[in-house]
Amino acid sequence: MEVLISRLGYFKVGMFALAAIVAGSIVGALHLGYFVILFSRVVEGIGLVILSVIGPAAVSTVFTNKSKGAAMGLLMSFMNFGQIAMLNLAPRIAMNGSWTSVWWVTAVYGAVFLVLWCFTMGGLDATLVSESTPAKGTEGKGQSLLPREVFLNKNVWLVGLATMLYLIAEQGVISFLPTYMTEVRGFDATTAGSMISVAPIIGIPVAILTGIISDKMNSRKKPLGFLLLCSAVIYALFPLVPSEMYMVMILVFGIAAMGIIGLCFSAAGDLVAPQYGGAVSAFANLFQWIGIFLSSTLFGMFRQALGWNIAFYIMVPISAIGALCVFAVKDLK
Amino acid sequence: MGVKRVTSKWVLFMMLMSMIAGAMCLNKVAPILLVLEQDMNLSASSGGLLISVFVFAGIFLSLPIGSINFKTWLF
Repeated sequence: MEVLISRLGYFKVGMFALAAIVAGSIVGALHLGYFVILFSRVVEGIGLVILSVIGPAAVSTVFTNKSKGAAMGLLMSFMNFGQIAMLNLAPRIAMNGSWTSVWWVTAVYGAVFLVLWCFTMGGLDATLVSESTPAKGTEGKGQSLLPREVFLNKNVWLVGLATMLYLIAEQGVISFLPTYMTEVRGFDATTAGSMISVAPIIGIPVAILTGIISDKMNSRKKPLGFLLLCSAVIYALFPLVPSEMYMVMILVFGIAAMGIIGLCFSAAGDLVAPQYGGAVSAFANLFQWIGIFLSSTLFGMFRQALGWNIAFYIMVPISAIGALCVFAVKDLK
Repeated sequence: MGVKRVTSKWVLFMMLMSMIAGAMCLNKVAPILLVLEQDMNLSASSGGLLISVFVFAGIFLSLPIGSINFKTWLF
């Protein structure tokens, strides 16, 4: 991947990533069977994984330090925007046609920005080269892909595990909540989607505020552990509270759970010297993807084998163990 | 002839919109999972896999991609 980006440049790699998203969406929309759709999802995923690397790298290069924080904050809200869009649009589109229409919508959206990319981003690499200033003493020097300071650091592993456990619970719940609210609670799909989208909407300011509070407290461990424990309680409440209280539940879920991921990445960064920032971020990313991968798979299995309520209850110890991992990190403030 | 530079705001806009395209793909299954399960006659675990398989590539690409930050010519 590194070779691909340095040889092809950001313009071509970005074009490839968007093309993967468009191609994956089109193949999925053709409805050629379950395994073909699975494959098309992997292709789409490759597109996002690449963009989630070149996006922050390019934006942090072209913005000055004064405005970089705001620009990065906006950019890293991309997941919330995607969730909000799909939670509101997908059920409505599927209701007025077929589910394949949802795949066509993402294909068309991706195609629009692929065309725009081709026509307007040709000068991206030249812009990045002119804006980039390598850190002092790092010119021409490479570091190991797996520096010992990161990969043999027990504390980094604990934060990585906490990140993974948090995502297993949070992504498992948010992925299956639309189905649960429709199938068990009797909401119609569009109402359920719109209600759940409140969590990522509120998640944008909550993530910023959580970071500010953590900075003011001069602590990552306490807010992170506390929020993980709070979210564990909320998972236990989902099967218990009456349906008319669900809007409040989703609101509280958004407040408790949406600021955690930012704190996990900050905590990981706090545990190593600044020159290992890239490696520790990659390590946290690895646990992030594993957590998201396991989340829906495990929740789906628990739901099938043990039923909805137990699936929610299993998320409680998973999140609580995440909190224990955080509290066990010795070097974290 | 020199290559036209891209403004920082346009870089941010295009990157954000492109990443939203990926996030929309990641999140398009969950809200209509019930429809998909019924249409394709899927079990709950197969439905779950349909959501999570999206990030499969990320597990294998995270570490190689991470090295870009400190090894390529740009950074």
